Amino acid sequence: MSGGADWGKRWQGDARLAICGVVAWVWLWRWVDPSRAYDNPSLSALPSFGPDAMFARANWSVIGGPLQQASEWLSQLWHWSAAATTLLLASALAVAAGVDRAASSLAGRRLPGLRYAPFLLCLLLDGHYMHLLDWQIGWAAALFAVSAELSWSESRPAVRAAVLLPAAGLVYYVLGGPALIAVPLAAFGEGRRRETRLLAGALATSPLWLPALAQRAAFDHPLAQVYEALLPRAVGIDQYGVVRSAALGMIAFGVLVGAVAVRPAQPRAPRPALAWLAPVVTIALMFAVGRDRVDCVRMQLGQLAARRDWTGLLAAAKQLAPQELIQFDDYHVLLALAHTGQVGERLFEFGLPTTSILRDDPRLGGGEVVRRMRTQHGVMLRAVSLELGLVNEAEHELHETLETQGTYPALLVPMARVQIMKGRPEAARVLLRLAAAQPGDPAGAAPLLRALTADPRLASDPVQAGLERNRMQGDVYYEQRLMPLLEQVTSEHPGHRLAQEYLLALYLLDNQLDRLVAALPTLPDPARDTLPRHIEEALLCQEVLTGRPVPLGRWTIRGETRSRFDDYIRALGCGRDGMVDYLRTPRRPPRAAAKVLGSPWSDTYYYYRMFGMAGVAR
Amino acid sequence: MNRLRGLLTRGVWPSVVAIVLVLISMRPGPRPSGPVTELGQAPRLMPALEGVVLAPNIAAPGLRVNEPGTAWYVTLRGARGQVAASGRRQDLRFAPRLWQRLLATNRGAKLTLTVYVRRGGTWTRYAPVDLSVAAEPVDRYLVYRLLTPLYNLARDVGIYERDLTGYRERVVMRGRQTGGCVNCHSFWQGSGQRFTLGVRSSTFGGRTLLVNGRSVVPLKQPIGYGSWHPDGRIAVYSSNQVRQFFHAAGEETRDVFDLSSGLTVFDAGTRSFSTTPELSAPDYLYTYPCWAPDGKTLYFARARRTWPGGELIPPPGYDQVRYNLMRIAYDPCNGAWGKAEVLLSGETAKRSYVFPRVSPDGRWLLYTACDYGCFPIHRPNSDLGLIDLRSGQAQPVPINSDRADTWHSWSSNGRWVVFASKRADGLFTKLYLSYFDTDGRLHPPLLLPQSRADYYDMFWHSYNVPEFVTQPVRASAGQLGRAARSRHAAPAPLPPELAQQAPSMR
Repeated sequence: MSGGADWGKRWQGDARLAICGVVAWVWLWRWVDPSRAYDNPSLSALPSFGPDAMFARANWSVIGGPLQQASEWLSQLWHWSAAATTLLLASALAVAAGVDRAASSLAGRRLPGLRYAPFLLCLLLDGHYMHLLDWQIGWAAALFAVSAELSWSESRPAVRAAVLLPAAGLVYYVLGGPALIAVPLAAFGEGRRRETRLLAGALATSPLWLPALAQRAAFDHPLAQVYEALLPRAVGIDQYGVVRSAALGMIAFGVLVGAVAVRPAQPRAPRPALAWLAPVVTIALMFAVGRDRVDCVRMQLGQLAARRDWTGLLAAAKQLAPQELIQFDDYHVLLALAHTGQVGERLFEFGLPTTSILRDDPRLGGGEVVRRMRTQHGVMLRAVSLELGLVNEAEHELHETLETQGTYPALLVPMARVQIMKGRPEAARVLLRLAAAQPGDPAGAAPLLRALTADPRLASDPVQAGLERNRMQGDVYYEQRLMPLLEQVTSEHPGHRLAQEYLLALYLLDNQLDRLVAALPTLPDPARDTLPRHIEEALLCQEVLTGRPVPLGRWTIRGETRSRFDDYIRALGCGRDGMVDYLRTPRRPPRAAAKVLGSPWSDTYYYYRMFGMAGVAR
Repeated sequence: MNRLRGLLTRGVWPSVVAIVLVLISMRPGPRPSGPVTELGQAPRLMPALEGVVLAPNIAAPGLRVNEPGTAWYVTLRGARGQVAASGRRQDLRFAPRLWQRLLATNRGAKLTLTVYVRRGGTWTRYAPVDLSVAAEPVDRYLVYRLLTPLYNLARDVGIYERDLTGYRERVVMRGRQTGGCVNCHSFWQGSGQRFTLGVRSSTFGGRTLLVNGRSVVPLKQPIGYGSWHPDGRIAVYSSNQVRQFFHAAGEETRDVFDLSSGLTVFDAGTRSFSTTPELSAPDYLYTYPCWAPDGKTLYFARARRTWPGGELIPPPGYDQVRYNLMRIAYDPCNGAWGKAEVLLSGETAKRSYVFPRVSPDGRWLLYTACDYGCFPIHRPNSDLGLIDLRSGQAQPVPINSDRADTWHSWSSNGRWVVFASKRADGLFTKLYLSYFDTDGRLHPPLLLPQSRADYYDMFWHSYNVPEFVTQPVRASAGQLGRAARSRHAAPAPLPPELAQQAPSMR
């Protein structure tokens, strides 16, 4: 009878967790959309997967490699939101179940409310796009492993030690850092009996000696790296170290569970109303603090860029205030403006800084810093250099990113296109096979591979033909700077609108007015009737600076742009002569600036030139 | 129900499954039967085998028949025996033991490979492919570096040792052991027991590991390309200020050159470096040293430096730098150097001649020629060249491809040459083994064999600096890693003439 009642209670508890899980699934799928992490690996740290033998070999030769290999494969399913949601929820539920099982094994009774804490923690990490699938699976596996250990009835200390110490080594090898959560529970379990207290001590101190032993015996890595790997690596989107704090929190939680479980049970009258407390609090917290608005939009921008939905991207970007945009967002917005031919009209509406191009800005530091930064952003950069016609630059960037970030399909396919352009279809095949062997072939590499067999130059492929059409032919020395490359490619292909838009952005952001004036015959879209507004504003500044009219060719500066500029000068109260001084010392705001700060001119070139920033408040 | 449960618990089902799997695996492969149509053309094979000379101890290559069909059958027949492979997929494998027996019993003899393909229920036989087995074996081990076609940043570069009689590839040392890069390795007399290994790490600094059996001594001085004197007491290394830049257009994006370089002599006894003006004049660039087997001549590549000091990148005239093949006499008794002389003038031929490697009998010199500079792997027109040192005449090298061929090395018996080539795809460098006969002819090469024909399908790594060794490396990866990270590395400064040219990037 008692057993039946226990089973009933357990069923009810599991049903509550299941309801909580259903709500969490809907929340993750509808409001979080984990597939955004797939399109933003630079931010979310979603790993790549390599189907080649060298990749597997590299994984299996490190601590925690088997778990990494599995989670890297599973992570590729993030391309499909429903699959990602289901996997995230399954792993969070597995962690909850693991806590429940381990606590029950240790206490000899159920401690049902405890499992909601790690469940919520997992959801909070997922809701903030911190891709820690390997850690979530690892925590669950470690908890189930320790619950098996706690349920083991063997009482002879020597036998327990002979089995458990090698098993701890094995668990550590398979899972790596996530195995730490099992340490306090195992130590509490062994510490309950006098005969196994020595073993308990050995297990409790295993995070100190086991990594050093493994490093010495089998995996020769720098010791500092071995200990550092006991905690997760930094995630791009995590500005506050939440990921590492979460891992430490899980260990602390293990200590807490152990301490609670080994205390003798206090007979208490059951209070059914409280049974819903933990699930309700979990759901409430999930909705209240489970996601961050800015992070959500940021990830959405990356996803829309990956899907080439430029209009949608610009609409989504308006949800962020200029001061909320970071380099990643700036880059995506500029990409969308360039693709839609709106650089000349809206560049300063979004307040984009020079770093939006991710290059050519001395503030980013020297060559090595720029290289590293571009490498970190490489998955995001994807194929933009290739689309700009800078084939060698694209190859350079893609090689660096493939080497340091891994074989993401988003890198492999453009790299294959580079190789086709260079007359190396066999190399392209190797890269396309790598992409096609990823779970589900998210980049659509298999059809390209088939097409390549019939046509080694993919001449009938419209994307490839477009890339060939705009390819830069002339070799110039450029020292990692984009401007000479864009000038070269636009001189070879004046009709290459994407490159012209990027060049315009560079000229405006870098205040290169002489160059802009020189490029006036080709820079604006010839299909336009009027000059883009920002070009007009730049030309007005040039007129003020040189004291003579700029030769405009077939173009004119609209009267409304002139009168707006005149209004600005009037608002500053400096007159045209005073304006010359202001424009000659860009980014050094005059005393009179207070009059126009936050003014209707904050989306103009001259405002940007004077203050070094722009943007319309939202 | 109980009976079913009993069957499961007694383990009957696992046994049944195991038996079925064994029976499936024992199912005989398809064999030609009925009428066979003759086709006059040779089959397309991967790796290519036409005219190839196999080493009698080489492992069987996984073979792909690139001909459409539903079943494939291949026989390799010699005067003494034959071996066959068949399957319902194009990728076939010969049984290793039968392969080894066939090669061993047909040493120095011809072999014929015949391919049959089933299409629409009938078998087609392709024109036979002729190949042969050499009498002389290849050295058992091959040590090389494996890396992706990286530019500046490296995640994990490794030195590996491959047993050529099988497929086992063992890690000698990986870059991740120091969070850096492992590069030039130089063996004494082709022995894995004694060698030096260059290591570069931003955390632990540059090191040279001096390995002797299981003893590893770290020196606080990175080195470049090297060659041990046959007596094992000294070695000569290059010390290069390597720089890289990028072309905005053209086939090869990377360009690498030595801003300055010189040669330095390492004394293994005193663990110190020295040089001589003939090997380190500041107006010249020196690289790729190689000792003649008698130890009385050092070969190297030298070019006139066309730019002043400083860090101009690219320096003026970098694409006009042509290396000459040089040699200089050396007296092992007193350590005296002679005068350097030009063996082959790159300046005259408007080609750059680098990477001299002398055959173990001292008669042949294999080198690489490219249009300029000293990094032939980045020059698509790089080719192997051969000189008969006895007559001084250049010999034809028929195995060159229209893509980069370089990084060559001789086997200890002088009958085999391994080299790296981009011929397969233009991007990923692979290794090829070519037989060198007594008349000085290189025969069509064999791609480094792998157990599976699809091994290279997704292999996006490149091989470089292959070196044959007769005995395996005894020091473990752990020993090498610990030595590379050691704080107790012995200082071994370069001579002042070369101190500015400490290896900087590889």
